Amino acid sequence: MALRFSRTTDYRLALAAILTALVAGAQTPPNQYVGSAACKDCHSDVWRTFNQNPHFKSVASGKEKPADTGCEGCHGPGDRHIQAFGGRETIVAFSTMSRPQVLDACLRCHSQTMSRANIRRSSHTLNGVACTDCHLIHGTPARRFLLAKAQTELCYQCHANVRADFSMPFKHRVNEGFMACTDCHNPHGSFAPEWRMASKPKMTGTGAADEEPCLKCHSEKRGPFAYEHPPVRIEGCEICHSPHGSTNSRLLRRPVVFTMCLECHNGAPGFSLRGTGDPNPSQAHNMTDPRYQNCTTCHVRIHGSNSDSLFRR
Amino acid sequence: MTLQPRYSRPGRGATGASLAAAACLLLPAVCAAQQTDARSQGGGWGDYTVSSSFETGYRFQTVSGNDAEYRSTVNFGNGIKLLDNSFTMNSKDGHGRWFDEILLTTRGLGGDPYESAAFRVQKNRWYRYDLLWRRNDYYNPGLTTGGATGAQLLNTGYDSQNHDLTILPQSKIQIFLGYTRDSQSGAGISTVPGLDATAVYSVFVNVRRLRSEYRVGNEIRLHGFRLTWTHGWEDFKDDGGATLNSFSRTEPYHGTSPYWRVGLFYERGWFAVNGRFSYTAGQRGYLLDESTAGFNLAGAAANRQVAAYGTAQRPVAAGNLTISAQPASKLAVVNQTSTYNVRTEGNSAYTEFDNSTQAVQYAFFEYLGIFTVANRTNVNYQAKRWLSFHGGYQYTDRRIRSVQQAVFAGAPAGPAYEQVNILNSGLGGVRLNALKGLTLTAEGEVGRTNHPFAAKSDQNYHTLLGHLRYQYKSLRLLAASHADYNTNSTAFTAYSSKSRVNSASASWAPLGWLALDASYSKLHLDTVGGIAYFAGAQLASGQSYYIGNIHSGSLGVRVVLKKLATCYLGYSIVQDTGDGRGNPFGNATGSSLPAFQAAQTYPIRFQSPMARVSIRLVENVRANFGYQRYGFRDDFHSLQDFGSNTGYVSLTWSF
Repeated sequence: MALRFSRTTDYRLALAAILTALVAGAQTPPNQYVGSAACKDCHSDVWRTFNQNPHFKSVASGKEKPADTGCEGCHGPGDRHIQAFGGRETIVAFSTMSRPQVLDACLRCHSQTMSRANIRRSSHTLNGVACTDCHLIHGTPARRFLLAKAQTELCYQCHANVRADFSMPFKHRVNEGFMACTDCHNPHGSFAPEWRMASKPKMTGTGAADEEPCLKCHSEKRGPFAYEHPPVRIEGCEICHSPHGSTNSRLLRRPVVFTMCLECHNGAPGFSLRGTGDPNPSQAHNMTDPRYQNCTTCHVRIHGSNSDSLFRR
Repeated sequence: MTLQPRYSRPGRGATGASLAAAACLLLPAVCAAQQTDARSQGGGWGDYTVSSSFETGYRFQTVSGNDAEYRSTVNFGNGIKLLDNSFTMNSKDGHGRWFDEILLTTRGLGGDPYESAAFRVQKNRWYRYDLLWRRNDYYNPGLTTGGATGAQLLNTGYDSQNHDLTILPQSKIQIFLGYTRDSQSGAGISTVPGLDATAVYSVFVNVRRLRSEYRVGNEIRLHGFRLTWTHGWEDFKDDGGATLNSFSRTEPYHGTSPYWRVGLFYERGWFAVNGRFSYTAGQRGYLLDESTAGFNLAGAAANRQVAAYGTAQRPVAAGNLTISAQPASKLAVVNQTSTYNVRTEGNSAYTEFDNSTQAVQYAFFEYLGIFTVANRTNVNYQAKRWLSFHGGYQYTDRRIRSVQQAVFAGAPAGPAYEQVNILNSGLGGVRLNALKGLTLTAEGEVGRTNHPFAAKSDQNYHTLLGHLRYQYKSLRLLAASHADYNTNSTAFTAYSSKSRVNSASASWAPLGWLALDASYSKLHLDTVGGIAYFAGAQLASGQSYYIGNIHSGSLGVRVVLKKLATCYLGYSIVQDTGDGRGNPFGNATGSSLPAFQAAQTYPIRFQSPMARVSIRLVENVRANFGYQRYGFRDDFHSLQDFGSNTGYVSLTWSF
């Protein structure tokens, strides 16, 4: 026989449950949102410049939910923290959070833009880099993006080999402030490059046609041309250039131009568009003569030409 | 790697000026640009908080040795500059009448070769406008045109401005408007055809290039979906040309590339999908009108006329769809499919009329189509809190088709060529948090392609990557090793390349007023390739052999003497030791081909000590002194060597 309660019994049970909940609530009252204004009494150093902080928008808006507003938007409800006169145990303290927790906390709002759509599977996230490794939310010295340091210094922290690249005599002007790493890379993760076969390079941005980011600035090399230099289009700029920096002029991978050209133009069958191999220079080119060793002195339009299949104009 | 000393934060008694000075020391001495902007606490102005910092001074330089090499690598000049400037206005309550924030930063204004300015104005919830302007003076050693003086004239300027306006930036429906303008002008290199066979002669011509891009877009967030679309028009003009005594060339090259980009993003719980799709319809029209008159090598009068014209199209369709799933808390699976379809096609005519032979030549457009499909799957598994693994597999199919197109009736089209290249690659890695603050990462990838396009394309490659990171309080240690190996050999030629980078860096701020940082990197490059070339009438064949051993190091010490003075001392060096020899010829190792003996290695040294001191004069004013020496030495060609002393004296005023 199924156990059945009478209606009276039901009421009694419900009443008991409510009373139990009330008693429990009285013992540990729910943490309440108290508003950012309550924080400034103790954290005046943060509050004093908070109107210069992008997160101040949520306070100024006045329309956000308490859970999305100001200090409590990130640190959670502050009532218990105030009652306890502070303490990391009574508030969401980022210094005690694991890196995935930090990421989750920030992405609660900041996953909204497409530029961060790939952040969860980016190389940075997979290697344990959290938002707060690069961004300093309170009191940042940077004017933009709340960066903890100058952008290049942040990247160099982990990429010492890239610092070395930009110390080369020939390099893109990153250290000089003309460019930044984010001109070509997306530190929040990017789609895999479609213009290459392999998954390399990683975290690289794209130009207008989902092409290499180089063409954003070097637009004269973009074409289309009547005569394309096929490796430029098929293998990309990096087959000849080191994009960060090089000991060689024009960021080339070889110090003397002809050595690089001849590595492909050796007549070896099976390569090139027709599978017949890239032709080696004609007999008119005496490669022991220095005037033929800088190929691009004559083949000036090596990235593509509209009037000469040999790229001489 | 650089650590800042533990300066007081704004609001804890630090003045804006001292912060400005401290921030100015973040960078190499003469690059007063690039440093983190100083954030002064600022003062009130009505309903706004205003803070500002200006650094103005005189930059000087002296050069000994090859001035052209100096200008192509460093290029700082003399003169009064506005080295660095920042200005901000923020509304106190976030309800300014017209704006809530104005931000202006500039660097290097007044003629530095690297100038930039960034401007932002925004009103919360209503709009945000960003402007980025940059100017770069390129100088590269080109041809020797000045006779005995050796003056070199390849000197172009590049200007870029980028405008972005976002309307309703905090809304679920945002509207984007943008404009970009890039221009390049100056002297560039081109050629003049000779009147004998294929001879050409190099000349300088004026470069006049302009790229403009207009874009409009919209982002909508609805029911967990985010949809972004952008429609843009990119116009490009290149109006270079040349006029000499008996030669003239006009070659305008104009076109437009309208494009559409669409992005889609959805994330809900354990499942996420995002994609990016774009279509670009690039088109260019071109004309070349060239005439040459003079005498050929035999002394006979001759002339040649060339006309080439046509249109070229390059439609590009690309797509990328990613599906992510987290079926368990410790397991994540990501699958990504991408396509890339590009066709370069068009119609063109090329006529060349030689008056001496009455001969006419034609040439036709070369069609090039590339279609790539790739699919990759990656799996991440966190076995323990301190241990995780990841692995993946990728398949890529690329088809390349080319054909010489006919444009005149009756002219036969060339044969079509097609090749298919398939890549299979796999990767795996492990991440370990062995101790608190210590992270170890190791990763490897192996790939095989069946039909590499070029002799030095990836064919059988593998990469190895290791990374160690340790942090304890202000001490941070990093070490990384990265190796790339590729072999691409056929019966005729053997190609192999090896690249190994080992790097380490450390930073430490043991005291509040002292910070140290150091880094070292060694890049080893080792490439063997099959070579065939003519040495006179003889066809020589063999192997090229390029070796590079590039050592890079940097060292920096930062000292803050209370609020009175701050000092930075630094040193950086890059040295390619090549294969160890001291002269270009006669090395027993490497290539036996004479033309390659001198070119298979390139030992150089580029070093740069630097110092910068900043002294507080009064509350908001500091005096700065910077010095940096650059020394470049080419072991094989001493004519390239230079040494330069650069520096500046400046005042920083902040409030």
